This record gives sequence, C-alpha cells and structure tokens, in this order.
Amino acid sequence: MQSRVVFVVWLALCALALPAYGQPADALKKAQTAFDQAQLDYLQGKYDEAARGFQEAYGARQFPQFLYNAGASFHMKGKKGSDPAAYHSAVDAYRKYLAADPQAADKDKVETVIKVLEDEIKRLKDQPPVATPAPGDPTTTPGTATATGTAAVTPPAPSQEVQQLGDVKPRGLVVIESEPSNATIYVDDKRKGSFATTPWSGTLDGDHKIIIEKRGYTVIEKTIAADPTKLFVLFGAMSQQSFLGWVEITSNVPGADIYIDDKAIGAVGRTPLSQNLKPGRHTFWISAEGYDENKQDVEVVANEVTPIKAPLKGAPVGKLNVTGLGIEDAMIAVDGKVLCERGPCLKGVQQGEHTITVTRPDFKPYSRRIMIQAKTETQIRITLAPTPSRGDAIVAYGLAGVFGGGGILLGLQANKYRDDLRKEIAAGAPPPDSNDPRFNKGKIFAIAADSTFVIAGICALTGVYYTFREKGAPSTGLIDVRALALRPEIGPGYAGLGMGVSW
Amino acid sequence: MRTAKLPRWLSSARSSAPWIWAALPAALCASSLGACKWSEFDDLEHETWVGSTEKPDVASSDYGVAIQRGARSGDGGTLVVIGAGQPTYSRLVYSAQGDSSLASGSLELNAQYGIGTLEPQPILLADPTGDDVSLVINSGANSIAVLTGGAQVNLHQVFVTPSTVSAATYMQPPPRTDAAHLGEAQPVQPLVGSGDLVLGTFYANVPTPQPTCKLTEAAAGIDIRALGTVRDGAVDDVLAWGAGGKLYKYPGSVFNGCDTIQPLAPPIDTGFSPGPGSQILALFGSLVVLQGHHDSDDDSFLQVYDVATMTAVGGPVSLPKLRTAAIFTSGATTYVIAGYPTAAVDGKTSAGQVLLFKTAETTGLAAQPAVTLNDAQPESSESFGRAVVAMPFNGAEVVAVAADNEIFVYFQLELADGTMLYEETREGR
Repeated sequence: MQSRVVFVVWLALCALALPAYGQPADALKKAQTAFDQAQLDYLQGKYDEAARGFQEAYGARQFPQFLYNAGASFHMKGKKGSDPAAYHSAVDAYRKYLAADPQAADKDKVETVIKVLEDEIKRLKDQPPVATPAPGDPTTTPGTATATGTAAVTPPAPSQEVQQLGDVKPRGLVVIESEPSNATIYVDDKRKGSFATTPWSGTLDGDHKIIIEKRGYTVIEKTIAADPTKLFVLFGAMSQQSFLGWVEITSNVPGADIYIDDKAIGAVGRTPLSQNLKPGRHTFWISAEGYDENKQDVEVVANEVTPIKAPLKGAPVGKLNVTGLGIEDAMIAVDGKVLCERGPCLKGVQQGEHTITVTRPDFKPYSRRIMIQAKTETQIRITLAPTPSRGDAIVAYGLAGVFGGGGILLGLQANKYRDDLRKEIAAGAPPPDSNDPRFNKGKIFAIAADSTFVIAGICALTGVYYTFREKGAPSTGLIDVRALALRPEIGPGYAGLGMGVSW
Repeated sequence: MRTAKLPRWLSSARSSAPWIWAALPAALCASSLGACKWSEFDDLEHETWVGSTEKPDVASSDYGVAIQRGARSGDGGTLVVIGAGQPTYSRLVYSAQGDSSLASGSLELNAQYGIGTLEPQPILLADPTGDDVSLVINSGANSIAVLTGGAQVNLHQVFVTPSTVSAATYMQPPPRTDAAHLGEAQPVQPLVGSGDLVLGTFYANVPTPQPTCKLTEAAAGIDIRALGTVRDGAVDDVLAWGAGGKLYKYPGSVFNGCDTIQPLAPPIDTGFSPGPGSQILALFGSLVVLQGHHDSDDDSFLQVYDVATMTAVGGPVSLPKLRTAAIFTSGATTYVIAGYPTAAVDGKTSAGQVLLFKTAETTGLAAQPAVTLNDAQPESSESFGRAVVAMPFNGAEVVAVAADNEIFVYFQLELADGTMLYEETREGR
C-alpha cells in the first residue's frame, strides 16, 4: 500500500451511517488525503508542499496537530537552508497550533522551539549569506558573495540552538470520533477513569483498548495499534439503545473503586464514572483505601439518568506490611476481620490501635495489638511457631471418656439395684432384708460411679488445661515502623504525587 | 507429626486461664447433678421391713442352729440363739425400732459347761409360763444338760444311760411324790425323753435316785421321737410320738417317775415314722400339730390332731424337706410356721424357705401356705428356715427365721393374698 497513513472508518463507516454523516466523513477523507500526500512530500524533502498539504488537511478538519506538522515542515525547510522566511512560516504555524490547542501537552516545548527559531531568524538577518566561489576562482573565499556573481551563495549553518532542537518530524495523529459526539472515551481500562470525550485527536503510542460510551447508546470497544507517523481515525457510529439506564457515579473521593452487583469480578471503574446499565435494581459499592465502604442499592430506570453520590468517610491511613517465612499460607486479620486471605499482606489500615492476628494451620497464631500511624508503614515480620502436639490433652480426654463411660455403667448398675430393691420392697414377695447384699452393692456401685465421674471430670479438666496451656515457643513478630513521604513526580505521560519509603 | 487441629474458638480461648477456672466449678456442678446418690440405699434399707442380723461377735462358726423367743414383755424383743461349731448361747436384743444387738453374757458352752458338741437340731424350749428358755443337750457322761434361764442360765442335769436326747417338752407336772417332798407343787419344768424313758427336771431338791419312767405300749417301750403336752385339769398329760408313728398320751405323773406306764388311751397311728428333731406343738385347746421328718429321704409330715379325742383334724401337709415348725398366733388365728431349710429357691440348692400355714379348729392345716418366705437374694446352702419362732416384739408377735449365720425378723408381714398378717411393728416407721 502506497499510503503510509492508515485510515480506519469504524463500523465500516457503515452503509447506514454514510448517508447521515456523509459531510463530516468527506471532510475527514479530504484531510486524510492531504495528510498522506504531505507526509510523502515531507519524506522527499518537499517541505513547502508538505506544509501546504498539512495546511490543506487542516482546512478540511481542524485538528491542531496538522498545524504542528505544517510548522514542522517549515521548520525543516528553514533548517536545511537557514531560510529566515521558512523559519518565520514555521513560527507562524507553531503559534497557530498553540492557539488551536492551548492545552497542548507539548506547549512548553513548542514555545521553546518558537523562541529558538525567532532567535535564529534574527541571527540570520544580521548575518548575510556567504558567497561560495566558483571552482578555479581564487579571488573568492568561501562564504563571501562576489560582485561578479560567479560565486554561489552558501547559507550560514544553523545555530547551535537550532541544532540542539534536532530534526522535527510530522507527528502521527489519532482521531477518535463518534456519532453522536460528546461520548466518553476510556483508554485501556475504565478503572483508569475517563480519558476524553469525542471528538478527540491527539497522539497515542502503542496498542490500546478504546472504549466509547454514551448515555443511551451501545458501548463501543476497539483495540488500536497507533503509529506515531500515521493518521489513525477511529469513528464510532453508536446505535441508540433506549432500554438502558444511565448511571452517574460520583464521590467526594476521586478515583474510588466502583463495584457493581458482584464484588468478586473486581472494580468496574473509578469515580467519577458514567455508563449505561441494564434497568433494574443494582448494588453499588464505592470504596477507597482509608475510607469506609459506601454501599447503595439503586433502582436503575431505562432511558433515565440515575445519579449515585457516594460520600466516603474515612480516616488517615498507614500501611501495614506483614511478611515472614511461610506467610503465603497464613491469614492476616485486623480486629477480627480478614485483611488478607494469605500473605504477604500490604494494605492500608486506618490510623489507630489495632489487633493484628496471623493464623496458619498447624502453627501457633500470632496476635499483637499495635498502633498504626498515618503516613507510616508498619512492617511485621512474622515467625510462626509450629503448634505442638496435643497428645497429652488427647490422652486426658480419652481417659475422661473411659472413666466417664465407666461411671455411666457403674451408675446404671447402681440404679438397677436401687430400682430392683425399691420394686421388691413395694411388692414384698419376697421382701428384701436389711442385710440384702444389694444394698451394699448398690451403694458401692453408686460411690464407685461418683468417684469415677470425679476422676473423669478431673481428666477432662486436665485435658482442657493441656489444650489451652502454652507449650513450646510462641509465634513472634518483628515490628518495624517506617515513615512514608509524598513527593511530586513528573513523567512523560503523567504528573502527580509519588510515595517513597525511608527509615 | 501432624497435630490435632483446634476449633477457632478454642484457639482464641487458649491461654484464657480464668475461663478454665470458671469451667472447673461448672464441671463439678454438672458432675454432682449426674452423680448417683448412694444415700438412697440407706433410705431403702430403712424402708425394708425384714431385719437381718448376721452372726455377731460370738465364737460359733455355725450361728443360729436353734432360736427361741426370749423375754415376752417390754419394748422390743429378745431372741435366744444357739450357735454350733463352738457351741454358744447368746441373745439378740431388738430395740423397739428393730435394731438388733448382741446382749452381753453370751455363753461358750464348751468352756463353761463342757458341752463340745450339739445335736444337728438342738432342742431349745420356751417356758410357756415365763421368759425362761431351756436348752436340752446331751452332755455326755450319762447325763443330759438342761440349761434354763434367760439372761443367766442354770445348769440342771438328768442322768441316763445312754444320754441320748430324743425329745423334750415343758410341762406342768403334778405334785411331787417322793417322800421328802411329798405333795409339793412343782413349777412348769422340762420333761426330757431319752430312748423309751422320760425324765423330769427338778430345779431344787432333786430326788435321789433321779426318777425315770418308761413309756410302753403293751409292755414294750416306745422309741420316743417327740414329746408334747396337753392340759388335763391342773396338770398336763404327756404326749409322745414314737418312732413307730403312733401318738401316745400318758399321764403327767410320768414326770415324777415310774417303772413302766401304759398310755391313757389307745394311740393314734399317724402313718408317719418321725425322725430325730420331730415336734409336738400345742396349738390351742386339745389340738396339737405334729411336725415329723426324715433327714434321710426328706419325707415330711405336718398334721393337726385333737388329742382329746385322739383323732386327726384335717389332712396332713406332706411337702418334703420340712425340718422345724413353730406356732404363730395373730389374734384368734393361729399359723404354723414351717421351715424347709433344704428347699431349693431360684435354682439355689438348700437356699431354704419358710411356709406359713393357717390352721382352723375343724379343718386343721390349710393345704396351701398363706405365705412363702425366703431370702430375696437366696444363696446355696443358706438354710433359710432351719429354725423358726414367733418372737414377742413390742407387744405383738413377729416371725423370726434362722439361716446359716443369719437371723431374719419380719417386722411386717404380708400374706400372699395381699392382706397383712401384721402391720409394721417397729416404732418410728
């Protein structure tokens, strides 16, 4: 394919969509054609043609990036020939670019370039070009114009500042549009929050998943492979779905995780979040670390906006970091509630005093009440001691069972004697006498039963004692508290606060 | 080694010492609730109406070969008990509440009277006119010892060769006929039978030589196996049951001696040849009960006779293994207490039992016993019923039964038909 620009019409710029939206599509196609040609011209060193092509593309669709590319073309022409006029055109195009996109991410960089070029224009005006002598003409010196015109004029070399700017190249462009417009764009994951609204143009490098969503319309998801040298157009023709409801979830804590109906599947996004949802009753959980979870059961009505406000209450948090040998099989609980099903466990815990419990099968539990302070990381390195054998307790319980059983048998026998005697005394045929051996036997059995019960009880209590007594070394934990510090961080694609640890 | 897992609640409760110590009294309380109350057996023992006394601290190894009632008056009761092996004479005193104890003054007959051996069924008679009893024993050296008394006994001897004791009975003898004491009235005293002779027992001023009298029928002496009496005016006539099975009646003058004497009336042939230990028991009026048995074949004979007319009253009771009998009177009704000490009970040989037969003036003995008594826990060779007696107790009579080294007293007795022969006789019950 000759063109180095990929033109993508989403949903086939489908036959249904073409009649309704033909005009914007034509303009986009015109811009696309001009962009393709301009790219070719630029690569062939036809900077004027390239700049005109980008300007023509801008005339068709006002994407600021086209102006930047026009400026880049003039910039390269000026640099190649130290041409003040070309530099001037470049500065003019760059300024239009910044005017068209005041919030451009590279605004500072472009303004620097403009400054450098303006200085270069001034320098070139103050320093006339030098004539280059014809071959064999000894009267001329390089860089000096001759009166006879036999010598070529050599443009002065670009200033060091211009050299340091390097070669500038036209940028690729990703264009995301939808019909209807003003749809919310998410990149890669809704949990990252909304990216922009359609129409949007800008640069994206690499593979991305684009999600376009608008109230009452079907959600569009498309994976794109953005090329920095190409124009990538993603157009979403969204079909209307009036049976869906629209929820707008907001919270006083931006970036709070949002779960809908089933927490097990994970967070579906972060606040603020607006999206379609099937009508009906839904459960929403909004939570953020350090805040109490907000749970709401909300009836979502078709074709209506359902606002959900989730005020989160919270407290300052500190980090709890539980590590240790074999911690991967241990469960960590804070104040009786499971914090991590298995270790290692690094989670935020509200500031205050908490009881940390670490349990692992066949090991003695570790439990300690510690103070979690805000903006600190409390690390506990756990050494769990194996649970000692409870054989002695089992033996004691066994003996208790044996004696208890024996006591029952003896008691039953005593009761049998008692009942027989009582019955025979009442019947009187023959009446037992006062020396009837069953009186003594029954008494002996009763005393033996009671004694056996007492022994069984002692054994049982001994078993209980053996069960609960501490035996062997306890599980231990080495506690280390570190301060967490927040510092500003700026990266190529982000800026914010980063967290570091020092101790 | 894999260790036993504990429930989580137990794990969490581990090291909770207070929990354990709280469980301790709880467990003890639970145990006490489920425990057996051995005091129930004391209560039950208190409820039973049969008092049983095992051989007290006497020298005899075979305690209770003969029993007889002691004092007839006063609270409680007294039982004279003869022991064999080492022959003893002792008394069991029953309090009004039925508790028994061995009275002081037990006699060791060998040491004190030179009596080393007793007959299998020693003759122990009760004085019908007083509280005395008499033990009639072959004391050897051509003499028969008659130990008479209550708390204290006096030895009387009658001399005869051989000194076999065939029978004995208390009787009211006629006035003395010996020259030194001619016409002196005599108290009720034992008459001893030995072979075909009878000998009166004189408590004071024994005639010399001691008188004897040979009981004969057609000039032939009878082999006396049992003696009894029947009142004839102021004195008693003597009844003698011969080994030939005939029942004779002789005048009471035999007490004072004679050469030979013929019966007052033609004898009655009972058809049963009595063996040693047979008895003639006065029932009431002129009625007597003959208890006869053979040790060799266990044949038994129990029959009422009217010795005034010398006729049988009613039919005999011929249940085997009869060995002894006594008369029990409850108001106007009289019962014969019959001991069958070798009878088997619940498969236990010679466990023994006692039957009470009701008597009537015209029909004699009831064919079926009014009640059967035996040990509720019979044992082999227990010989329950080897001696029986009606013991005066708290002003009434109660049945006392001797067994091997054990004496039973029935302080209350219910007949087989459910009626009470007598209610609880003990005080405080």
